[in-house]
Amino acid sequence: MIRFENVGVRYGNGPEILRDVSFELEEGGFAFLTGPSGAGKTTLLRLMYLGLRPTRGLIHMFGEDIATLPRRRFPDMRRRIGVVFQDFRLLDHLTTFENVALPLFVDGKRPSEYADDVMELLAWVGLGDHANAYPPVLSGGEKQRAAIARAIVGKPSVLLADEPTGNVDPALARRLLRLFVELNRLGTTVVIATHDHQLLNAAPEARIMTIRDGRLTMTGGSMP
Amino acid sequence: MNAGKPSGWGRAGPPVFAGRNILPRAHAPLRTFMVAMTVMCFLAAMAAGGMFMTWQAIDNWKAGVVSEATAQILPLDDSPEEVRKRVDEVVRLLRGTEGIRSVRVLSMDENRDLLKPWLGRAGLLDDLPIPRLVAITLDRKKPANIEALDGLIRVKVRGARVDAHGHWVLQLSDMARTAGWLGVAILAGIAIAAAILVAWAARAALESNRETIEVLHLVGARDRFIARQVEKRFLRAGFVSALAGVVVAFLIFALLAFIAPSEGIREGAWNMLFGDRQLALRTYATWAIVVIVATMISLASARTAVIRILQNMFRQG
Repeated sequence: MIRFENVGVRYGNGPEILRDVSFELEEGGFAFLTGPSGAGKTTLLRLMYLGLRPTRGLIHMFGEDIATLPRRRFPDMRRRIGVVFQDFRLLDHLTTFENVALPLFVDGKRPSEYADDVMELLAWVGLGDHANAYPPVLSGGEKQRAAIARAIVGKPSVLLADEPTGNVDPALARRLLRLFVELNRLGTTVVIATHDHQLLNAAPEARIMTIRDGRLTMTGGSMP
Repeated sequence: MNAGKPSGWGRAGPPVFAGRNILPRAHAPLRTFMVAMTVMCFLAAMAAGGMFMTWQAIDNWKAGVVSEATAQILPLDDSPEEVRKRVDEVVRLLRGTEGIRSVRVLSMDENRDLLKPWLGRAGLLDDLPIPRLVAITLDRKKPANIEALDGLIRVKVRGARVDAHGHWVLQLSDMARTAGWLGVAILAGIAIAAAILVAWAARAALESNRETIEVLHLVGARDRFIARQVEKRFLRAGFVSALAGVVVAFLIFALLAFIAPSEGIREGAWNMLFGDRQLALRTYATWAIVVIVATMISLASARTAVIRILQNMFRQG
């Protein structure tokens, strides 16, 4: 599903942030991406959600080499990837409902087609009563859940989450993890970048991708 | 799962994205852009209106000057009675000439009044041999040939001649033409400044929407979709602002047409807006062009900026 071969990233003339990163994530896998701050976790996620082009190496997403993929096909590719950003990236001028429905709206779907699904999803993440609220009035945890709901509303094949429990208390963190595990059971490949070792321990069957000094090592889990 | 619906939903469904642009409707940079657009379009419309009024005034004035001539009869050493006879002869000749609408002999008092600014009010004027003047108004459509008339008068009446103010008309005409082109240059300057400012303001407004554009991009929006959203927002904002600027200019000229202290300005503004059909059409057409061009500039700048932002989104590290 996602395959990296000797991928390297360098910002400008600086040192390489990622070096010779090679791995493969298969469909339905569950992985944690961990490592010290500044090790390159967010950069690796950016590569995976097509927010950054690698300086070298090959990236295959859903069987396509992204280096040769025409620009017009990127939106289709992105719709298969749900992303939970570390800073949520909710749009303050849209309601929670509209933020969550955004991927469906930009896909050209009519609100009447998805309104019930979005409301159901909001209820599932515990935001059923906040559908008309704007992000500035939501708490950190509520924003986090709204961001997760937006990431999964389009039923993506891959869910990438950058520190999704960074702004929530341990109880909510466990609840969010259960949500990710549930999504994974439904067939979504999940990659979670986190510092939180408790989260890692709560999902012992998950694959661990560790980045240190720009190099990636993979351990555990059932993924190849 | 009974999710419930947010309050405010009508029968037609949720009020989500209904008729709305996905970009924020009003935020500080967009408001700044709209104010800049309004002000610049107002200035451009005022400059255009001012230029048309000036041209109209110049045309009227030139037409007035060109359609006037003066016959001058020197007293020589004749008695007043003999001078009057020569004046009558000149008037008779003028009235018999085609292309002359009216002839009026200026009284001695009027002659003295004309000379007062140079010679003062002292009794000196009574002692000087002041020439008699005959004001000639030419037919504007088919004016008499002043040179031929001058030749005729000189031959037929001793000490008489006709002056069409040719030297002055030429100089004043040059000055009027210069003033006219100055108006065009001022309008062009304002238009260029407006275009640059509007383009900058549009880019700044769009840059402030970068995060929204990035999020749309990352949730799978196509470039075409994002560009369309940006264009719709700037088309509306640009058009409304430009129109507001032109409407304010119209109101100011309309106000001038009614309450300007100078009759010339009142008449000029009235003719420009309502009185002179051709001039009014030209004015409104120019103002429409100001609105259209300003909207197009804002649209083109926003589009260029959004394309640049989108192209930088998936770039090498």
